[in-house]
Amino acid sequence: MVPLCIVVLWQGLSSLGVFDTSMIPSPLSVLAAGASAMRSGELTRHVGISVLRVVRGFLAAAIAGVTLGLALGWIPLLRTLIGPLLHFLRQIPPVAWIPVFIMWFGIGESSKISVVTYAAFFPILLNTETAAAQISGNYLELGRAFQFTSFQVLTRIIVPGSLGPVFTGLRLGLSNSWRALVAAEMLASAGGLGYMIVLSRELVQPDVMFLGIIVLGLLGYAVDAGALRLQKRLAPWSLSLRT
Amino acid sequence: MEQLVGVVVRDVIKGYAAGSQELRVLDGISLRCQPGEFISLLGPSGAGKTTLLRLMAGLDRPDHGEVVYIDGSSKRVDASEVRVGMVFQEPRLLPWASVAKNVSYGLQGRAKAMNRHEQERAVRDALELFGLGAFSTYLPHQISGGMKQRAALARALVGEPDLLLLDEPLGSLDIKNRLAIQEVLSQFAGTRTCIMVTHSIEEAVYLSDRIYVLSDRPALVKSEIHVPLPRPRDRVAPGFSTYARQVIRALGVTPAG
Repeated sequence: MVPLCIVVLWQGLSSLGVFDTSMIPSPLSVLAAGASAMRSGELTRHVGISVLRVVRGFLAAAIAGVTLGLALGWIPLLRTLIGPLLHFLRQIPPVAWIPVFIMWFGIGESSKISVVTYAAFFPILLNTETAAAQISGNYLELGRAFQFTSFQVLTRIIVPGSLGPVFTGLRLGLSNSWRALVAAEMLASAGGLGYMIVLSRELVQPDVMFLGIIVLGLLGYAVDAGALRLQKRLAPWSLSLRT
Repeated sequence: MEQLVGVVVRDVIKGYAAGSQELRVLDGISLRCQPGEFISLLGPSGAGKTTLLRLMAGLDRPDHGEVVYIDGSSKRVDASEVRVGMVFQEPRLLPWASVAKNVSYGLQGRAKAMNRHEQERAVRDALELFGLGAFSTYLPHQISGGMKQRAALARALVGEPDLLLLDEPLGSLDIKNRLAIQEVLSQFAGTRTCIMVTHSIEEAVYLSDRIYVLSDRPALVKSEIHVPLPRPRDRVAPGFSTYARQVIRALGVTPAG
């Protein structure tokens, strides 16, 4: 309801000439730009490129982050050995790596996907590691009392017991993915929503610029809502009170 | 292989670090539970009963002395061959697993000899035994505290353990459920070795072949009371109250008036 009120207010103020349309285009002009970009296929193309980059980069981060996070959480020695290095790396903003990745992987898809992976990896890793390390000792003791094998401790206790925070990490990782991707596309790309926004500034198309920003917000929102639904389906206990 | 296993606790000392000092919980305690016997441990809170049970379950090691499993001819049995069913003071159900799944985790080594269908049947039977048949698909947060504790009992029993260790298992149950579960447990007397920590004198006399009354911390055996009453037992029979009075006296409680 509140977003709708803001859009109506925004349109009303635009119609009254309160805003300079070269700085803040009206919602209707943004909508018109969207319709035009849809008809020409430009919007679908840019969205498709960005989504594919996020999917590929995020999946790699999710697999690596969850696996390494579980291992770090479960094996204290591993945490001691490589924990400091990982915590050093996670302090470096993903954007700082863009020139390095371009140097290593070239201007193509790999550098953009690598930035996404880097950005998504650390929140996933950190949440998974913390969750796995903080599994209640009572549950681990239960496993000992009922003679669980190490594999059973992992599959019956560690993994399901970590799923709630893992999902939080995945959702944070997803939003980080979008941020890093847009930065990478703005700096070195010929496609994607970040590129579309930068190009619209050069072509003085504020309506397209705002369209890009709004589409980014909507995509991020939809993906996060999807992740939450998946969490409700796969780990309903993580959203309920643990009693 | 189904076996009856007993436990021998010999000169066990166990302490925990409390700041810079050691808090000694058990100080040279010795006791014995014969295979197939039902014994209860009674004593003041904090006396070390839970610690004793944890040592018997192999969850802790004594600082001194030993805890060994024995068979019917008093020969030592290796701990790896003993299936222990444990009920903790709190249910400890895994919140992410359904009630049936939680119970199935108690199958332990028994699961190896069963196919999937037989495992499901064993779990279903255990759930029915504790009145949880209709709640098998529920998650732990969807059932009451008493039901959780019943599920914990079902989990401990589904694996047909050689040794059943119960740490105040009925403490959180209402009186009706408490009596019902006492009936279930009394069926195991003589067929399964049970060691139960309880604060209920009536429960101890109703279920046990022997009752160990422990002193305050550090725990020592203050008194050992044999309860040779025939089974099934009658709580209002004169003999029942005789043993209850013996326990009260051993605890050092002076009746008012």
